[in-house]
Parts: sequence; structure tokens; C-alpha cells
Amino acid sequence: MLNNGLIIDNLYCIIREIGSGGMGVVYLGYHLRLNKYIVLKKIKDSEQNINLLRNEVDTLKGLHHSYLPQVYDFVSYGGNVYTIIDYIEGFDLKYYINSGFQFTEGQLIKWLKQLCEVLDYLHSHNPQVLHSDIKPANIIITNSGDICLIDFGVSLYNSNEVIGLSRNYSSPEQFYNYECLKNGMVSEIPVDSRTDIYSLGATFYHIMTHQMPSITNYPPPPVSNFNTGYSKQLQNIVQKAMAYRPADRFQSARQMLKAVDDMKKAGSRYKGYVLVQLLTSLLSVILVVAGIMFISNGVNKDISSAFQADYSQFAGLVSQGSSEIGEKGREILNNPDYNGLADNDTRAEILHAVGDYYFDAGDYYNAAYNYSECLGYKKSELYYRDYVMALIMDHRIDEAKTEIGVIQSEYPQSPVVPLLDAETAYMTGDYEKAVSIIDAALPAVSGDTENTYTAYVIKGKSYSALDQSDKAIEAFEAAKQQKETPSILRSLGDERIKNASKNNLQFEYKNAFDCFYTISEKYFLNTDDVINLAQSAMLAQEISQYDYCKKKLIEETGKKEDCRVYMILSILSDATADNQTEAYLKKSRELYESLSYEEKGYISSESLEKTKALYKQYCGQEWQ
Amino acid sequence: MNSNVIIGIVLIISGISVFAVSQILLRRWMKKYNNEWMEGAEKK
Repeated sequence: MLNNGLIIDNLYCIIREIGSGGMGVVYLGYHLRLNKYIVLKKIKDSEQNINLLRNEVDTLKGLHHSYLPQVYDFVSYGGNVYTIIDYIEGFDLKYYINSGFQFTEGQLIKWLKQLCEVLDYLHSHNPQVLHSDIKPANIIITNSGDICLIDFGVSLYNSNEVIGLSRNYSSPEQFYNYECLKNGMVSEIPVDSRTDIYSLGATFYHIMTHQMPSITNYPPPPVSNFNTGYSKQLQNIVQKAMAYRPADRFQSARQMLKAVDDMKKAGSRYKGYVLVQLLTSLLSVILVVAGIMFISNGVNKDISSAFQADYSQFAGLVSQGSSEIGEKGREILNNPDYNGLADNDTRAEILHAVGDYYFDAGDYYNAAYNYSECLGYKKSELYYRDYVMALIMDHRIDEAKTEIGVIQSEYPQSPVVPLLDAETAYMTGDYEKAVSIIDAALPAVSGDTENTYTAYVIKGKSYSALDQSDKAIEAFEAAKQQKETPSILRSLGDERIKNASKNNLQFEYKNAFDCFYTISEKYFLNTDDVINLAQSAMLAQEISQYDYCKKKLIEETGKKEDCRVYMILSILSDATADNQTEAYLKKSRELYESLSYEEKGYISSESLEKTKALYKQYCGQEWQ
Repeated sequence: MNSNVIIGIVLIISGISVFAVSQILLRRWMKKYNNEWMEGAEKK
């Protein structure tokens, strides 16, 4: 018995007795250093094994939880041992039950969750801590409405001592162990954390039904028998916690806590919430995925449209023989967006067209380069033929011979090989041999437009080199019958001018003019074409065509400043008396003076003499 | 930018907006539901 006002260890002042526990009286005290109220509770009758007790209390002192009173220390006095614990203000659940309080389900769930949390904390501690004496009297409801679990009985794991056994709340295995001890037997059933689960369930059984369960009268009537008004889920949780066999209960406080949390998920409103959550998430995903698909489709459509537009434009340039073919072709081939759209056949077609452009322009190196790339995408007899032609024209005879070998092995029946032999003969200056090879090869290629065209072109070039213009013109006309191209029209036009000049055939100038006129109207004029157009018109004295020729020459001056163009323009301007002659003459002289000696050598002496004479006439000074 | 791209952008923005707004509203509802449930609103 401790007297009021007694000070123990100069720290703890006894205020009054407040109750009794399993071992005796419980005192309210005051911690003189911490300046707070404490509880002194006797836990041992003697000071024997005090070191073991010290270890136990140290364990309890290490527990810190908002739903547990803090254990500060233990103290020996008068042969007894007391623990020093936080004083918790409030009434215990036993008080409320005895007073007839009926709690709402919300309150019970809140306390049940808090008790599960604190039990989970204790059971997870190392070493594991079991309360072993959960009952309404050991659950305080604090002023804030939360629980505080007090009065640890035998709390440490592996201890089978049962002190202060609560018959109504102890688990079957606890009660069995007690019976064994009472009868001097050794208990065989281990007690673990599930015993606390049982006690918790029994406590809530009592709160909900106001009936104390009893282990000696197991099983107690189900909660549902009592018409408590509590939900089926809560009743089931309590029933499960109170299962006789530990294996049938919740296996941990955490599991029980989860079951309590899951209660709200049984409600129809919660199910509605889950359904709405699922539907809105699904709708969001569908919208985003649809959006991505639309964007992807739109981008692809744009790219596809752009490719079609570019390809159409390229095809138009090819049909006109435009000088932009090379640039446009490369632009399409190098565009990474078109990788999936331009297949190998298309790429080969574009490269072949670019090669043709360079070939017609006399740039055989670039022609061969493009033809070679073309073969990288698609191998065909035609492509091989044109590649070898370009090699030959570029004087790369050895490479050409290697490729001819490839053609012979890949296409043994091909009529292309004789054509290439003829081209080689032409390039090496053996024009008559070229003609005879072509004449022998023509029957084999009849019906094949491309090869027949090529055969006649080689024949025409060979006759032209042999100065046999009539036969050259005949061959070029035959080629033109197979396929009209700007190139063959140019060849025809040039040959007719040559024929007219050599044989004094005035009508040939008209024929030449017709060739260049066709190029002008249907295809694309280069600088030489424009000059030939105008010159052939003047030589043919096609006065009605002078204005047309001037228009084309003026267009050419907008693309390129070529001295020859201005010279011809001066002459035509004088012939048509359009008052622009002096300006054209001055420009001609200015551009002529800027030419190198070698470049001046390419200017027609006839044009130069005529221009100089006009210069003197219009500008009043000599053109040196 | 063709119409499909514009429609796609609108759909993506809509999808994100629907998700964001629904999450805000559902969280508010859940909080209210929790409070009501703890107060015994589900008591039979």
C-alpha cells in the first residue's frame, strides 16, 4: 500500500489509488521531472529476477504508438516492483457497456481499425509483443474519441504464463494453457498473435450484443441472433475473429484491418464509384488512343499527299525535259518522310529519269552515277543498257566492258549487247563498224521500242560523224518514229542545220526550225535550243516567227546571262525594228568582254561579225 | 495541318481532361463517402 504524497525515487509522487489490476492496486501519480500525470502499477510481488524484468520493461519502453500509453520505467519499492506508465484520461469501454451505451457502426469501425493498427504494430515488433489481455476494461476511450490500449498483462512472446485470465475474452488456447497450469500439466499449444485477435473479437462481441461471451460455453450465439442493427460485414468479421481454431481466424491484425477496410467496398455506392472510375478511365484511354490514331492517320495522309504531289510534279518535269529534273528527283529520294511510300521500283524509275536527263544534257558522268544507283534498286536489261551507254560516252570503256559481261551472263538472249558494241565502236571512232553492227542488230530489236530507238540514234550519230547528213537525218527520223524526245528533236534539228549549211538547202532551215519549235511548245528549251530556234528562223527567213523567237530569247535572259542570246536578240531586234537593239548590243558586248579566251572561241564568227556591225551602226563606235 | 490531325489533338486533350476532372470529382466523392460511412451511414 502506497500512501498519498509518498515520493518514490525522488521522481514519482503518489497522488491516490485509482483501481486495481491483476497484481494489485493501481495508483495515480505525478512525474516530478516530466511534470505530467503517470500511473504506477504493481507487476511483481518480489524483486527476484529483476534483471529479467528490466529487459522486459526495456522492451515495453521501446514501444511508441499513438494508441499505446508510453511506458517510462519500473521502480522497486517496499519489495514490490511497479511500472511507470502514461496516465490516460478517459473511461474504458467496460464503463460504457455497463452504462448501457449503444455505439454507431461508424464508431465501432473506427475503434476496431485503431485496435487492429496497434496490434499490428505490437505483433510486428522485434521481439514480437503480445498483449494477451484485451478486454473492454483495457480499452480507454480518450477525450479525443480515439482508443488507447492499456494494461499489458504477460506481453512477451514465448511466455506461457497466464496472469489475470479473463474467462470471457481469453482465447481457447490461452484458457487451455491455464487449465494445464492449474492441473500441473505442461501445455502443448503455443500461444501466438492470433490469441489477441480472438480477444479483440470477443471484446467487440460484447460491445455489439451486450452479452459477454464465455469460452466455457463455446460457441456463443451468433451476433446476428441479437438484432443489433449492425451490418452483416461487421458481424462476420467479429465471428471470424472468434473462431475456435486459430487457423480459422484472421491470421494477423493486418488481415483483420484489411477486412474492416474492405467493408466499405461492399456498399452499392462504392461499387458505383468503382464502375464510374473504370468507365471514365476507359473513356479517357479510348479518347487518347483515338486521338493518336487520328493524328497518325492525318500525318500519313499529309505525307502521302505531299509525295503524290511531288511525284506528279517530277513526272511533269520529265515529260517536258526540264532542267529541274535532277534537283527534283534528288529531293524526292532524299526526303526521309517518303521512305515508306517510295518503293524500290519507284526509286529506280526516278533515278533512271534523272540519269536520262544528265545523258541528254551530255553530262555522262552524272548519268552513269544515277544509272548505277538505279540498278541498286532494280535490275533490268534497260537500266543496264543505259548505264553501259553512259560509261561508254564517258570514255570509261573498261568499266563498260565489265558491265557488258554482266549483261551477257544475266540476260544471255538480250539484243542490247550489239547496241553497246555499236556504241563502243562509235566512241572509238569506228563509225562504219558502228553502222554495220546496228544494221545487223535491227531485225533482232524490231518490236522493242526502246532498243530500236537507241539503235537508230547510234546509227544517226555515226552517219553524222561520217558527214552523211541525209542518212543521219533518215536514221534520226526513224528514231523519232519510235519515240519522240527532246533529245532526238535536237539531234534532228542540229543535223538539218548542218545539212542546210553544207548543201545549201534552204528548206532544211525550215525543217530545223520546226524541230526546235516542237521542243519549245511541247518540252523544255535549254539555251542552245533557244539560240538554234532563233537562228534557224532567221536562216529560213521565217519572219512571222521572229516575235516568237524574241519572246523565247527574252525569257532565256531571265534565267541566264549568255552573250550568244543577246547577240541573236540584237539581230532579231534590228530585223523587227523594236527600238531595243542598242540595249541588247551593249549587253552583248559587256558579256562578251567578260568571257575567257576559250569561251570566246565558242561564239559563232558569223553571229559575232553581224553583232559588231550592228554595234557600230547603233552605238556609233567600233567594237574591238 | 489537315483535319485529322486537328481532330486527333482535340481528342487527346479531351481524354486527358475527362480523366483529370473525373479524378478530382471522384476523390471528392470518395472523401465524402468515407466520412459518411465512418459516421454509420452504411448502418442497416
